Amino acid sequence: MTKLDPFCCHSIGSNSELSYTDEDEFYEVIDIGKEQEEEEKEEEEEEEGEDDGDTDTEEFIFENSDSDSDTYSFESQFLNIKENVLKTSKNLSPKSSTSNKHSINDVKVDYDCLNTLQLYDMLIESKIRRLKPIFKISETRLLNLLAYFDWNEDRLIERYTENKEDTLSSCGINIFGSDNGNDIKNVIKLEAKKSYVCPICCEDNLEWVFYLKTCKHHACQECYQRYIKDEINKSKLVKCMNCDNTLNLNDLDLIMGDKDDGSRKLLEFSIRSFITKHSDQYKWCPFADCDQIIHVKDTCQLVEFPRYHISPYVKCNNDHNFCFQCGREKHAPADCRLANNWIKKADKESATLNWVFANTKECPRCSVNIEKNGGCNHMICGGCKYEFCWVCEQDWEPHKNSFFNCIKYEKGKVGNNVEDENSDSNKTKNGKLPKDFQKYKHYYRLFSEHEQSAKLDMKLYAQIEKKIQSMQETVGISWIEGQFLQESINNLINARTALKWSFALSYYSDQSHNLTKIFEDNQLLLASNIEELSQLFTEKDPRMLLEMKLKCLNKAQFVKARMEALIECGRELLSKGICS
Amino acid sequence: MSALPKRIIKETERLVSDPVPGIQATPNEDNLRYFQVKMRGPIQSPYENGIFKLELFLPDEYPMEPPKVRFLTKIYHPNIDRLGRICLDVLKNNWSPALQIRTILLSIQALLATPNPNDPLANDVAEEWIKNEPQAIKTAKEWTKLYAMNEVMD
Repeated sequence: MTKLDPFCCHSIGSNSELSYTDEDEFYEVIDIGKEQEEEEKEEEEEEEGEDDGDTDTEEFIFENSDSDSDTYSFESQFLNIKENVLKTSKNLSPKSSTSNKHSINDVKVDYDCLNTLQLYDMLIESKIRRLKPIFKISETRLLNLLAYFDWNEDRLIERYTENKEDTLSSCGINIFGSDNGNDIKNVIKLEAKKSYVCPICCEDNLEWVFYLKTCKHHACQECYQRYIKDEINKSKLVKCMNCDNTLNLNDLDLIMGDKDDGSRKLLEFSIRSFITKHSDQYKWCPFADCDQIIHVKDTCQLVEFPRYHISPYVKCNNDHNFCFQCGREKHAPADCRLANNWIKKADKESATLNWVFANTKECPRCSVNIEKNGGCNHMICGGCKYEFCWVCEQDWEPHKNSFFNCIKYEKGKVGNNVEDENSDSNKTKNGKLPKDFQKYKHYYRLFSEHEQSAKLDMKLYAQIEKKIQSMQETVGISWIEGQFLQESINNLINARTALKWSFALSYYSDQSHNLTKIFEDNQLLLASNIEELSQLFTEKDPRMLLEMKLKCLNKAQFVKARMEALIECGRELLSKGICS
Repeated sequence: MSALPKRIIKETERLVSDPVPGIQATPNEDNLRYFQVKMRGPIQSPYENGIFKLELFLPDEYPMEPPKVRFLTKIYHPNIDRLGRICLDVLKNNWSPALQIRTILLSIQALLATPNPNDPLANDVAEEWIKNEPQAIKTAKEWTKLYAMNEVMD
């Protein structure tokens, strides 16, 4: 069974419901596309409504069966009928065929995306309002107090009930200084007398003095400003320079003369400490320069994910997708554990492999150096016009008609034989290379190639935007009509990420298992379609692009469906323990 | 070099005109931010009768940043390591601009009187201090005799 039809992934095991449905939809799209161009948009929307349970970027939900689980729920009559058809027609895997359709709809994660100010409001709403009647001090002071107690409300209340005044004064809050919760200013700004000498800098001839009412300590404006700037960055409370009296937020603003340097900075610090303290529920978006915070309300939801070998993907308001569990980019079909293993391995081996996967390759025919500057793997040598596949460095011709054969790892047959021989001799020379190094090298090359391609796709994305603009100007289309390109390229990028991670999965999979073969066939199909889609985008003429709209949408839709099928297939590998 | 801040001038004047008993701090002629310090071991401590040399430097950010202080004389103490570095809260986290050179030096003198082996800098010394205190005190006295008896206060 070396060459399975990739479509028959649904035939083995009953759990490939998803890919089956998608397949149907794919054909539907094509039919509709051929018949009625205008209705297509609507149709697609409907379809999206239908496959509600598919991978959605915001809520990662699978609708599928899991043979290990005890709870079953029945989706709909329609799906069950399909299930039965599958069971009766192809009964290759008896164990899984007995399993019923199980919904893992409930395995999803509810979350909010917040920025610092929203989180502050939320904290005030949820914690401070509740505590305020007990403490009878102002909200900002309570926030200070909570930050001081590491956000441990119970400990704070316990300590407070034991000894009110000590608790407050240990945080520098003088009970007489607070007026039933109204935050009164502790600091007074005074014009400096001629004879005044600041006790900190010993300068005279000063403009402003700040004087603390409760402890009667004072210093000049410059000293206080320098002091507060330093303190805000390292502590939860800003105290008087001489004693333990705290300055409240209003005081800070008065001294700093600006909220951005004063209270807001300290609040930010408090909130940072809050997030660090509650990292199981709150996470910063890991993307560079993104200040969004993802808040998962119920962490119990997260427990379910590893059982199904899926990961809680979240998206911040800046459209960054990441895994809430491990903080990496979207790594489906691999789960967090596998992604972690892969990354660790890659870190370890990358020094050895970096030179192997340099950005340039030689043309297999004329040996001229070629740099890949587009996302497509179909290369045409600028010198000798030889057409070849970037991945396997072999003739492109066979890739066109039959399968995109080059992502398959077959020992001895693979790509650049010379390179392999070299590595073999290396292996025997130092004897240090692990047994599976060849295999690893192969998959790592694929992984990094698609990572590279994904980056190039992002560049393409920028060009696409320009193209849309030029189309609006030259062809005179409306903005909405140009959106299909954006949609399609989003699909392309998502699919490439999934394909990339699927190679990590391949590496860890049992090669002899039938499901692995099906998985690889799925990979092949997705890869070839990704390349075809990617090639469509390289069209330079905007008019041609518009004419290809249908082709583009169909291809993108198909790529999406194949990606989902691949992810599902990968999940199956993981849940059946074929991949370890 | 920029002009010396008034605060440093004032502190230096006061250190000279109204010195702390048992502590003598002299600014370096070439660098007025650098001080040579001599400190008398507190009475009824293992360091009694010893005179310890220290160096003190006021960084540019002083008084927003704490002064840097280091023992030059060898000393057997759980909170002072072989290089003379001192583990003292007011020299690190608990520094406040309201503190001064004299208060810092007094704190160091107090640290000599009350070693704290539970928050050690020199681990071997602290271990000995906890396991066998009389022996540790004996060693401290010996070291004082060996290294801290050659100096005299001016």
